[in-house]
Amino acid sequence: MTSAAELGRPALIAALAFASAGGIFCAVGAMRGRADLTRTGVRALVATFVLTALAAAGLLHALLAHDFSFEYVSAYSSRSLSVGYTFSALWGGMEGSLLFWTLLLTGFAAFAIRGADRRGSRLVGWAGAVLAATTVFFLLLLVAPADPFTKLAQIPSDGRGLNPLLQSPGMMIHPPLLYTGFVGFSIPFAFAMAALLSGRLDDAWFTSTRRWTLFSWSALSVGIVLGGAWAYTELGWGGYWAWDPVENASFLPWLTATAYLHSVVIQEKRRMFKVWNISLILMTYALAVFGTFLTRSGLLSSIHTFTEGPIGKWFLPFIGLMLIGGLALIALRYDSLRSDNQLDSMLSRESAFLANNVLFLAAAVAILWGTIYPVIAELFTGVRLSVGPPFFNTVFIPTGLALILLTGLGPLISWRRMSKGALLRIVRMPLIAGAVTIFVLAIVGVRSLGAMVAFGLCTFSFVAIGAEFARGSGVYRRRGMGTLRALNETVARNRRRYGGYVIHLGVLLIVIGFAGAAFNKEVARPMQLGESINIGAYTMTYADFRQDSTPEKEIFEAEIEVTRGWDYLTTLYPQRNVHIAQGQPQSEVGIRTTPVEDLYVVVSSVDPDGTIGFRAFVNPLTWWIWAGAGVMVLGMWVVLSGDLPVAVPVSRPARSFEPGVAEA
Amino acid sequence: MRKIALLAIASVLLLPGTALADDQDRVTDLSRNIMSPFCPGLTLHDCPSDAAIELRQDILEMVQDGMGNAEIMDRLEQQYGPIISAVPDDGRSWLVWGLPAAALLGGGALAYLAGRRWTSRRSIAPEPSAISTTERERIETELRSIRGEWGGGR
Repeated sequence: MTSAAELGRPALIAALAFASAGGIFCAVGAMRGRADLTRTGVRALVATFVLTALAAAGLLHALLAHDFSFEYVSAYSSRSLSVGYTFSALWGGMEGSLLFWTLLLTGFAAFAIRGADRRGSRLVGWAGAVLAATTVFFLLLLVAPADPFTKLAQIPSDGRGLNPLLQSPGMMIHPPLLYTGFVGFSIPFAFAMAALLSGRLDDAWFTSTRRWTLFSWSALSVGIVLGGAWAYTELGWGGYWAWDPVENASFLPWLTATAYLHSVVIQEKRRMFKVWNISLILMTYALAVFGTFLTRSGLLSSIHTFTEGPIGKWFLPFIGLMLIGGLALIALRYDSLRSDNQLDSMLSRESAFLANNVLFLAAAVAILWGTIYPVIAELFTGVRLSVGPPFFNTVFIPTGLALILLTGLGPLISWRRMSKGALLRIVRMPLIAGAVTIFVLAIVGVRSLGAMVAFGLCTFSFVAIGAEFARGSGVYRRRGMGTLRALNETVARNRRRYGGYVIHLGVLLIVIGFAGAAFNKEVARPMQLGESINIGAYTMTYADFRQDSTPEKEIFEAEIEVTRGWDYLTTLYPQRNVHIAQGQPQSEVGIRTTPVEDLYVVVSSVDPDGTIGFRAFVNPLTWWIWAGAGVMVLGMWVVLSGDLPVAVPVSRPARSFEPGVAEA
Repeated sequence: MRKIALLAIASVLLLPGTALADDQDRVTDLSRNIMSPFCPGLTLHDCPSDAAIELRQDILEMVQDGMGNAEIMDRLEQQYGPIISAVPDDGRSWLVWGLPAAALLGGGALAYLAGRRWTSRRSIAPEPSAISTTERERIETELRSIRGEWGGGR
């Protein structure tokens, strides 16, 4: 059978050739100051994207056409798999996900570089060279050790199918979003490195990539939350975040990127922290690649590491080269990266941002350490250890709570300096609100210290941010506008600032959802047909069951009637299914979700007589996590829709590799 | 006298119940500090598999037999290896906890010292540029939009 996929490998080899040529043209163009060479390089990078897209289309075609002569198709899809999940099999396996990563990388690179070239950015050459080098690395992986187009000698009649856990709507969006976030950071990374290489160390590198940074950060944030939602609805253990190494791998670049988004504001306003910001973007991209390495190397046992392959050993040298190269460049340009301004006072917005960065970075260091410690320990002692949730909760929760305090406090402190008296006046209201919350919770009988502090701090920050909106819109209200119009006008006039506040409000809601976990209840025991079980105020009766089979799976569905007092509430239908292709049993949970609490039921085993292993959870406030994520998305939209790219100001090189200057 | 008798009866009746709840709490605490051998990445408390339910039951029996937490952990580590402990307890655990603490304290101290150094040598001179380029751009766009509102061209 011949198919479009036969073109896949040749297309990847051609893409490799174009990426290498593009990189050389861009670099030489930048060194010699020859715009014509750079432009040729940019065109080669666009061609690289087109060729990679062709290869990806080829693999997709093979998947949809069930061409099982390809090893990848037979390993990750089957005839009975629905079209949607067959599509998502493109990133369901190691080779395919690397191809998908490369597709995004070449696409983003082509788009960003062409855009920057049109705006006349002088960083295009070096940025193109850096992006081409990254692309070459991934294409090399695809051509040699992770070839998605390997053929099978014996063509099977059907494939092994996609891992049933990956057959979920969340899994169709979660990986692409995470990858979009990871890969998106390659653009600010490339422009930061280009600024270092060219010596043009003004604001251009970050202003021209600001939308990319925000866009990538947004995609990563939403991707992480969707991953949590997937774990919650698919894995059936009642939680959404397990501090699994692969979850940590997505969280680490998020932490450094969030630190960067904050500290870059100081560079913009006060031209300080330049070395720091470039280092943060370097760390973020290195951690994003490290995340892919962790996911794809099988180095750490993890529930997410469905695919393990021989590519791990390629990643470490690549990340090492990137870090050493980046740090060497920063050292080389250290003098040009000095701050233009001084810190005026320890009590200022600048120092609040500084504290924010210390906390984010300390959290990142702690989580990175906890994630890799088992590997390091095994390397030295030969004994496999675990570092699990108790460690991560202990190190992250206090840091996270301190950050929540800063969320409210930061915007209240003025730039440059502020007197203690002025600060006390402005924090009085939020402080009282927070204290009252804690007091009321204590009276109602809440005994979880962590949750009380979290609710108190969230109230503090809610009131503080609310006051910011009130102050901002006060000007318009005094001009006779209605409250809503005034708010709208305030946000529209400064989308980055108020969009940021909206994102903060979303984060606070998410924290409220997390804090609710302190009050989780659970019950687990076998149930016979007709039996009832109580949890919290709910009574659940195992009323009936249904058995069915599809070509894909044997379905067992329990009917659980839920009542509260005398009131019938709902009927939940948790399932325990056996996927035929993999012979793997899997639970589909039943959830009744409300803003107050979720009732979450799982069938963990089924006996032939219909007796079920039954587990039920009451998870208070979990709903607010997803609601908070929605508010965050709204905030991201506000920020991104207003922050249009600006023409890059012509900059004076500090010390350049260009002829005449370089020889001087 | 009757009150005391009633209390005595009640406490005898209630005690096993409370003891049971305490045992269950201890199992919950323990299982939150044990990585499940059956679900990679999840604690024994969270692991939904049948084998995990059995192991939790085994731990409950150990608790009811009067074994201490450390004793139970030792037995489990003998059975499953040190990987089962959710935080290493092999004498090098200071290393696990030390680095995060050092990162936070060291980072905080560095930032504080850097801040002090910066503030102590601050100049009285006004800033070279009162507003940044981005601020200026924003003001310019705003001005343009206001001009636009009044219907004027450039």
